[in-house]
Amino acid sequence: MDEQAIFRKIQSILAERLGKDPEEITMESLLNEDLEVDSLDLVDLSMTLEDEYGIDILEGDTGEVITVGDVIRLVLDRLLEREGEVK
Amino acid sequence: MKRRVVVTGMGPVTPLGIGISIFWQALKEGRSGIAPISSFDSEGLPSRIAGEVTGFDPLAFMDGKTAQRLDRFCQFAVAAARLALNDAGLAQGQELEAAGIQDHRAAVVVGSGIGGMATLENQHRVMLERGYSRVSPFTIPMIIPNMAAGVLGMFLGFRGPNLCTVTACAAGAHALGVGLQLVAGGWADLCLAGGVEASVTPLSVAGFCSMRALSTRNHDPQGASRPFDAERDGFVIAEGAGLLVLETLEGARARGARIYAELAGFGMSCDAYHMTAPDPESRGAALCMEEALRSAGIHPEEVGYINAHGTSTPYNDRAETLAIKKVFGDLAYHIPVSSTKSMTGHLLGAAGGVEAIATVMALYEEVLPPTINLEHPDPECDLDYVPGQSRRAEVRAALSNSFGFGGHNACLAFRAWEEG
Repeated sequence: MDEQAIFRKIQSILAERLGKDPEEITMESLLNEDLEVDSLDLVDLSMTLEDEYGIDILEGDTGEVITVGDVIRLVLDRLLEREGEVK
Repeated sequence: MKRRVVVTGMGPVTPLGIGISIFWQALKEGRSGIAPISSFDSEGLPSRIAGEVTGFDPLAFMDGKTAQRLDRFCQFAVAAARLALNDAGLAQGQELEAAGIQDHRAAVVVGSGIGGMATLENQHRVMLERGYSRVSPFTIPMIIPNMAAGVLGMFLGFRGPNLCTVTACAAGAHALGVGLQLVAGGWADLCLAGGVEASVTPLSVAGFCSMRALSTRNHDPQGASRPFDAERDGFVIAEGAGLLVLETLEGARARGARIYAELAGFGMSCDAYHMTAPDPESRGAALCMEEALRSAGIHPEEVGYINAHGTSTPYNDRAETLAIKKVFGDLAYHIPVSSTKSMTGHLLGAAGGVEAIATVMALYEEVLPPTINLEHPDPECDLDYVPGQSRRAEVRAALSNSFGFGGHNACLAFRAWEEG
């Protein structure tokens, strides 16, 4: 799973949920300031990503998430953990 | 402190159309908004007809993010609010400012009988099929009935009194009554008030069917809502919203607003009898009409029109007829009474708002909307129900009745507005 594929997935989820043009959403977009993602939106996004990638995102995990890039790194971390468990 | 309160804007979202001109035209023409249920597969339900708001595009009234976070009943509320404020010439912030309406003096009172039923059903299914952890974080904010008033306060920046009346099918009328009191009593200078509902959903229809409350005239949707007719067999469920802009007479005059009518009085009472059946002696219904007249200072002889609750259930139509006779005596036979539910179906918590709009338009345009499908009156329903076709009539005062499960009764009293 590469970073670009995850980015495109998150971009399309956020564009749909937030009613935004996908072009407005970049790796550097600030979730809060640029995209107006609130705490409920973030829970909603986490749940969607859990379903999409078969991972678990815990409540504390999103505390450090500020940009779209941070979300991608979080997903990649959880995917790596999952692979570790499988092995 | 008691100030006079007038209606200056109206926003209907109904099975007959969206916006005041389309809605009123349909009522005058005696059209039915009832059709087979289209929003879900109703196979297996005894009642498979409804008054649905077709062609409703939430994006015409709000952005995509907002639309996704609101249950349909709240989407209707946003649409009705924008239509009503636009109709009042107060759609823009600068118009409110120019009118001298301060944000903390602008109130919102919106009633709903049930709230976000579709969201409740969807998320319950998610929980059963996929587990607790998959339940959307928007579940609760989308279900709670007070969110309609909440989001209107938020979107419009109205910081004054803001609340929800939850009195089943009287919710919209109670909201207008509370709105009247807020403005008349000086708690607010403007109030957006009325009712909203969107519960044409499987669970809701099944629940009403189990009560034997809904018409099963599925072969004839447009003829199914037939208040006061001997062949009526229950109400037809419907959805939508009706919000009105209430202002002080002084404020409306100062800004040169069009005044539709005066909301002159309000009565409320409780049957104190049964959870869902009306008191067969109609004491509660009569009491709220009497109180509406008293509070408005309207004499019974002045009343020229009553917009009935008129659900088309055997129980209601007889009990309401009796209540009108109790209040008006022999005069009752000379007062035109109509049920616009014959055309819209029963919008539950939104009914009081939508019917207030119909009542105000009857006064404003001097046309009484009819009771359609009234072909063979029930012998116990022997008043003038304006059968079949609308009628021209100069009316000085009118009442609008709403009665809800729980025994809640509400009656709004309007006066025609004559400048001078």
